Amino acid sequence: MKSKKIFALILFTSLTGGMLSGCGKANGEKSNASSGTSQKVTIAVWNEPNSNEELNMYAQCEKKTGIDVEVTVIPESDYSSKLNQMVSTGDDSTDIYVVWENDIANFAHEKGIIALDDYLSKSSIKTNDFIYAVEKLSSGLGGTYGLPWCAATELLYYNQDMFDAAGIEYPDNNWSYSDFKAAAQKLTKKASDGSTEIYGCTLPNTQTWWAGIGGAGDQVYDPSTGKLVIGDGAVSFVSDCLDMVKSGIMPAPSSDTSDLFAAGKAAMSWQGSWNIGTYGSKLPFNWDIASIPTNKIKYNTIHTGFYTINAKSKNKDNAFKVIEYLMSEEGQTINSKASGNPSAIKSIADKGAWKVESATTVENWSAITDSLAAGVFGYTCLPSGVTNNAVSEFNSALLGQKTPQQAVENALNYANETIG
Amino acid sequence: MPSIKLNRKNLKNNLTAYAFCLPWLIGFICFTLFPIAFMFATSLTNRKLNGKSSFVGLSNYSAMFKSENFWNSCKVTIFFTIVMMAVTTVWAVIMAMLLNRKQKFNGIFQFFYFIPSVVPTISLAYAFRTIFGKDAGLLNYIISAFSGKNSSINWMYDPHTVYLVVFFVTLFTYNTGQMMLVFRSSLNDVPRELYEACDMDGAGAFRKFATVTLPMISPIVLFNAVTGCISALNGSFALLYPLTGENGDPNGMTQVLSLLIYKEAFSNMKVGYASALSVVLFFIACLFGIIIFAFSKKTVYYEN
Repeated sequence: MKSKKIFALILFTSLTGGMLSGCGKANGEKSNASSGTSQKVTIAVWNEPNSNEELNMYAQCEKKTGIDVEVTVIPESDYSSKLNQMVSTGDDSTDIYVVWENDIANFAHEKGIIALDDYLSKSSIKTNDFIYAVEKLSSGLGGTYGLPWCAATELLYYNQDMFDAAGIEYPDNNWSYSDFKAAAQKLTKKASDGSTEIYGCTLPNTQTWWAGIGGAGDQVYDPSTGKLVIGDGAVSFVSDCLDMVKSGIMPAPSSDTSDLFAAGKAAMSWQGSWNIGTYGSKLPFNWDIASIPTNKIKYNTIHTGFYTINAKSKNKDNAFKVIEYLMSEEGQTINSKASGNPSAIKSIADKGAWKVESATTVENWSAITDSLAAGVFGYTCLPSGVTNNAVSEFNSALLGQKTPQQAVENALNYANETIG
Repeated sequence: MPSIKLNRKNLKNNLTAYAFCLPWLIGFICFTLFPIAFMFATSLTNRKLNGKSSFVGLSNYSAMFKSENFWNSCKVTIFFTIVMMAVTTVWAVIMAMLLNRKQKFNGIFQFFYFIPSVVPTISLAYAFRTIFGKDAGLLNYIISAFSGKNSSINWMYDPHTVYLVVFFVTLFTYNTGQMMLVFRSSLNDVPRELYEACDMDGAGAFRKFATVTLPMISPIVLFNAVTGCISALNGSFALLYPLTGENGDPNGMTQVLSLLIYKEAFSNMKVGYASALSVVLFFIACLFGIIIFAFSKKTVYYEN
């Protein structure tokens, strides 16, 4: 009995001691951080840092600034919601958030991130040299709350071998939407039983549906009201896709997880510019890029994230030093080489570090600068639930479960119900 | 004097018992009772995911009752729960009975039947999504190879086949595997002499199952039905989210309430509205529990 009591006492003491020492460590960290002497900066991102140290901008930043940069990778599917939760709980474990377009205004409004104007006034970052869309988004916030980590765009990818075989000229950046539709029809190959062997183009993905709708004349996103604005343009584009699905030029929505373009089962595809790096020299055919074909207007959506400083950070000065490096020519060049995305700073982007070396068949690099010039912040500023719901509605129309008009109307009703 | 001693001992015993219960009680209060109370309170606010919140009374509920998506989700949830509960329970009974037969390599069969149940649901759903693809799906490839014709069935986007696929996939979830093991152990407890009596009366296999096996394992059927129901209501998210997406494609046919709650809370950032939806899900779960227990009073056989 006595030995049991002694054992219980030892256990209790060690558990309590463990707990206290844990608390003690946390307090120690806190006091160290609050004194401003901490040389560690934590940054939240959704993509893994490059495994090649030369192309790892955070590792290079550590070397240049002497600040220890700890990268917290949050999966892309949960990224926005996790950041929202961190801001709502006043979490101070992360100093730098890379915030998406749809969150930056809310975070600024809720004072979850700080205005960087004071820091920028003493910095060498060229804020007057951003691409137009970034400049426009920042100007609506009443201060500079974030600096764009890069600028990605949307492009037409095409299989040159299939174009050669069909005797069709390669697309250029001035291709019209009707040129695209005519080529898609010619490039489609049918089997003897009428089923499609090679599709003229893939189905638009969650990003490029909006390029088609915007190109057909809809505003997509109204920054003054924060609402989804679709109508005749969306009906027209969904109807076009429906016709292409019916005639086997475009695949119907399905649970297929494979990339039909990369698999050589589709001649063209509208996708994000970040796929250039993914494809590189891996595809078993020659391929190139062009701007998204111009319908009523030239339209595509710009994708980025903004380096922001957590208002609760106890290490703001060092956080800005890290951002300053990442926005510098060296930081931006490393980022471009690693991701294939151009810098949102025009003078840096013009130097072309984003031309992915492994994409040896790509010649029309001007497609990227051309797309960036025409790019806008569109659907990415809306809640993802609204835009994903709309894509599901459009897919239902392509499957013949409702008319394009009904699909667009439902998407709009849900958006209004959600955004208010 | 002895009575005081006895009272002290009783008090000590009671306190010891409460002390043993305390960890569970603290866990229950912190992780069950408080979240439920918080959910009810949040449903009366317009709380966003970034924490901004103000009291809005019942307006979340009035918006919810006006929403077509909500009513569609309620219908899908009830349908999905009933069918999933029935399909998984029946399948688990069948598998348990097959494994209970005296045959060689029973352990190996059980291992292979159970192994998909321990695969994480997300991976399982993703694998099935690939199998049931239209243009690059494995199943269509096999059908094409055997039929000599190009098969392009859009398994998961065709309203006629989507439920078949979804309920087929539920057969491989952890819940079904667990049910099978529980049924198997309960089948072993059915007295052999009852089957011997049936044999003497010349009863066939179905008669034996209906009049002996089923009544004797009915308490376990009830247990599995309740856990299956709760699992279908709350756990269906992990299966359906990677399988058909947060919108429950095609055309909202698989959008159960848990998917809608996720979509409203984490994609649209409307935590207050999502809490109102959760309150409804809570009551649906209660309703299913009450119905099952009411039904079981007449159908479940307890020996004692």
